[in-house]
Amino acid sequence: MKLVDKTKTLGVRTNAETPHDAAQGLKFGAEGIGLFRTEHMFYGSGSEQPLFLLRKMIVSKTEKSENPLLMSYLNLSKRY
Amino acid sequence: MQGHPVTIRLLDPPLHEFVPHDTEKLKELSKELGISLGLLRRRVLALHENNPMLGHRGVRLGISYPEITEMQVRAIFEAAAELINAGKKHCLRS
Repeated sequence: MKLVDKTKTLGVRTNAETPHDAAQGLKFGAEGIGLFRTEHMFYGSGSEQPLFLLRKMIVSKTEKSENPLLMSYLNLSKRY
Repeated sequence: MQGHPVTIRLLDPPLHEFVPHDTEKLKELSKELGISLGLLRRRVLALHENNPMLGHRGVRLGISYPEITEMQVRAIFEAAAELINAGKKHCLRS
């Protein structure tokens, strides 16, 4: 990215949802996160617990008692 | 992100994408949730749409399930508040 900095008129941001991806993007010269897809916390490794809580919410009639915990996972990614 | 902008998209996919559809996985899930397979199936079927790409997802989902939107927005603000309290660089704007 440094090569084009002198002449560019367009910035580039990265897609990231994890601290690792965010840091990697920054290392490569990303100027921010262009898209943080919150549904990614329900896919891939480490998703078992959030996905379980989400499924519980989807199928049950009761509201949000378990769910503040769910969204604390979202918090973690935002520190970076 | 060291003060750089972050664009966060709230829950977008239709809810049926988060539940299994094959019998084995549904059986597993019904046990985990402590509900009958029949009830689980009915709930999953209720999520069916002919064209989910244009259907109940994104902001429309957030209107039907305001608790999801509220929860996610709360998480975003709480994370931002933590960063501010910790003295980290930010560029908050709506």
